[in-house]
Amino acid sequence: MTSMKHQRKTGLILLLLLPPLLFYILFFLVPFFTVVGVSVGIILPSEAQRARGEFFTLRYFQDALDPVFLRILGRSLAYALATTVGCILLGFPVAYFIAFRGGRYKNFLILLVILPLWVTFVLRAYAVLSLLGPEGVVNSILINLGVIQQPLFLIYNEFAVMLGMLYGYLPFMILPLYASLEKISKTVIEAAKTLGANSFTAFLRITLPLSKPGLIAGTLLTFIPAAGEFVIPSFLGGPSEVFVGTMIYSAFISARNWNWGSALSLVYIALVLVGITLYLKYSREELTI
Amino acid sequence: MRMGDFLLKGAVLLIFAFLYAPLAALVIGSFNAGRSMVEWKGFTLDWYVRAFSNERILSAVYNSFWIAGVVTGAAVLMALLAAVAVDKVSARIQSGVNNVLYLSLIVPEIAEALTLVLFFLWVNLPFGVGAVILGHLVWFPLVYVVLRARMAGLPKVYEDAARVLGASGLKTFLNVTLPLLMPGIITGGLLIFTWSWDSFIKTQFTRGPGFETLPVYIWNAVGGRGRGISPEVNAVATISLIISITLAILYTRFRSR
Amino acid sequence: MAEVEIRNVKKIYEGGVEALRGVSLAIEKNEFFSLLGPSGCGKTTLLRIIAGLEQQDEGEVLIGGRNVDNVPPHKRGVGLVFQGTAIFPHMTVYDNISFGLRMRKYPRQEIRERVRNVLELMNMPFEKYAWKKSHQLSGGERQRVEIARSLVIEPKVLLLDEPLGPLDLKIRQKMQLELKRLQKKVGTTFIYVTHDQTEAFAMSDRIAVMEKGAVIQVGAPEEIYRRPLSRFVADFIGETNLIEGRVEEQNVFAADGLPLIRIAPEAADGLVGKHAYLAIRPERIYLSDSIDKENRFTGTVVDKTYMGPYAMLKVEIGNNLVLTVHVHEPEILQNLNLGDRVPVCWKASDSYLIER
Repeated sequence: MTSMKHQRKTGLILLLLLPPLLFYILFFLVPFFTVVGVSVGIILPSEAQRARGEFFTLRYFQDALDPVFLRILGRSLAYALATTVGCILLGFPVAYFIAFRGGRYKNFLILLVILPLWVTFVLRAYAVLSLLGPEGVVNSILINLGVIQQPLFLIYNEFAVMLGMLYGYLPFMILPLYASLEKISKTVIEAAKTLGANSFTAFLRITLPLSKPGLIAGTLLTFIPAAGEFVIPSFLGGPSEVFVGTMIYSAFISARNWNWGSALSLVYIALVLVGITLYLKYSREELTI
Repeated sequence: MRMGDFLLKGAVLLIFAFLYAPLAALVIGSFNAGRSMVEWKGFTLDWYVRAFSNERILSAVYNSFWIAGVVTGAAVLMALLAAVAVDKVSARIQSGVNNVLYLSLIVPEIAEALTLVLFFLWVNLPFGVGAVILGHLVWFPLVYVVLRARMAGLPKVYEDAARVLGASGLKTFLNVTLPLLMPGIITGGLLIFTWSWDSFIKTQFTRGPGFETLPVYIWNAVGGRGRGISPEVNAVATISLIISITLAILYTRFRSR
Repeated sequence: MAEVEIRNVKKIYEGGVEALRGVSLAIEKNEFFSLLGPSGCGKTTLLRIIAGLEQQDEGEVLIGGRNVDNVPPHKRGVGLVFQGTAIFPHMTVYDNISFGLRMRKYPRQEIRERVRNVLELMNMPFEKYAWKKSHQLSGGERQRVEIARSLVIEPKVLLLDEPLGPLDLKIRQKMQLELKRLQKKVGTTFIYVTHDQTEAFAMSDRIAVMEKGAVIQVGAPEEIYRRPLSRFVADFIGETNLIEGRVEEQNVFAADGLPLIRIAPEAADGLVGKHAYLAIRPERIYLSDSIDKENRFTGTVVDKTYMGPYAMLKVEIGNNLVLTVHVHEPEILQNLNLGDRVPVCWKASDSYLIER
């Protein structure tokens, strides 16, 4: 009798859980395996492959791993790294200030950091464009002040991409940093000071090490998406600034070369998965959105 | 010490300026009578009038809205089912389900988008509105996270009390659990609405030809190099900005409940 | 016929923790019955099983003579009062109290009438309280609303799970009296879970003392206090001096390093020749050598504490055996110093034996 009741309960749980879970598996997990299939030509083989009668091929990976792509991959990673470092340098003072000097404005200041995240990336990239463009605000101010005669060419170069990336990802760094700084009890720092540490030593020995979880979370939240970013380079970069993201985008949307695109993406996704594994391993932080 | 404080304050001020200057430029540009931003030629609402008489913009805004609405409704429902079911299973299964569901929130949108494209091609499903909605719905774990957090903070005694007072399982859910979850449903709903409203990459990959949402319209209007900025787009962008910020403020309001 | 009967109920949690190891109890109609024990003894689990919120692994539960093992909680006809924390926060007092009636589809007019009556019973004017929300109530008021909410459905049995736990001492004592008055007035069977012995003693008709998932003694408060059947009960209920030793004869108890101790012959039944504890309550030991007390010793005062209505002395009577003595004339304390020699005595019939 108890077991029958038990069975009915299990049945009800399954009835509730199955629809969302099946949907998720079908439209999120299965597609990830599809990419693997496409990248080795098992699924959606190209015309040329079919003509050769190959069922399975590593040709697309060979194409994907050619030096040109590897150089682009390396450059994307370098940009992502620079973005991350820049975000730490800019984000740390802000997170620190809000956590320790925010006082009663704390919530308001955090809201100010979160707000831009609610605005679509396309729009934010566009906003940078309207700031820096030849007809943008910066140029108009400089011309009106008489500093320059002709508009400076501030966009379609590496500088603009870098600035756009910093602008786009800064909140992703500030939020986790703030979350972990906020948890540090002021008494710990005060204790360090009463024990003889000056402000700088206390910061170096206490605050910085204790903010490590936030630093790790922030790094992964910026580095992973920044490596695959394509909206910002397409808006602000010059024609020579090809990134992994833009390349995958054109492989799919313009060239419609699924197999090659899949192989490209898998290399990128592999890197991302390594990142996520690290993230899950090193930080037990809850996702704060 | 005082010097350090001063420097810190200055730096923080500059960084906040950096975060808001581009958005400010965009808003100001939308009210400038001149076509370019080089000169301020007086205040005008002309660009808004133009934007609202542009069929393409109107349909993009309309599409964004109803898609986000449908996605929000369906995602809340799915998240609610999953969250309620998971509440009744062992901690091990619970954390297993959580880990799998959180994946779709961590994986970069571009990776999700392209896998979805290939899957649709493979099983021969058409691209278009349906594909866009399905793609956005994969984010329902966003609502799930919020609901689970809310449930974790909700004492079990309420449900127990209702049961003993004579409410069946279903009535307990409808009369007690659901109303107590309401703040979570609202904040979760606001989040998924925003993610859908803001989605560009997934939408761009899965939309059919001729179908545009607001971010896609902005991309198409400005995206190609050399096309640059247009005050009309500034006007739409400003409206989109106001909507996003309103949603964000609503969200923080409800979250503190 | 017992109102609630529990027959050999066992409950084992995941991981093999035995919450209940074969509990049997019979609780009479109109009885105020307490389950008393330290936290983790299984008293709350037993209550939840009676309410139907948990399912026992073995044994059966009967309410009003009917087996309820297959009856879901909402059809068992019991009320359950939590610690004043289970008021639905999204509803007014009125909606909270009428919840059970609404679930039973009572007509509106009757619901209103009943809510009014039950609030009156709780000394809460309808106009003042009905439309308040839980955050506008004090701890004591919240508790009363919870009790009213459970009573209004006229349950056969009202289960109370440490309902006064979070309240201040003063309000708690007031509520204890009020609860007892209420129970006599409505005549419902109360099953009351608590870890606080004074609370159980103040209200209960009978008490079941629980330890580690088992009931070790059931009886009226006086009975449990005067004749604990085990060392645990003796320790848990009030303060007791325990002297370890052997029952030499029907009326003689021997402890190492002490003169022989007289005991009441009827207390030693079946224990002659066995090791046992001799138990004597601190208030039954006197600082005198009056001839009518069979056991007289001389000891050294090692500690004295003023407790308000009485004073607590620690007197060593040899072989490191320290007795606690309650003195009800605290003036005596002024003339006593640590190290003083004092006489102590007690009546053989005031002590009792506990098997080891």
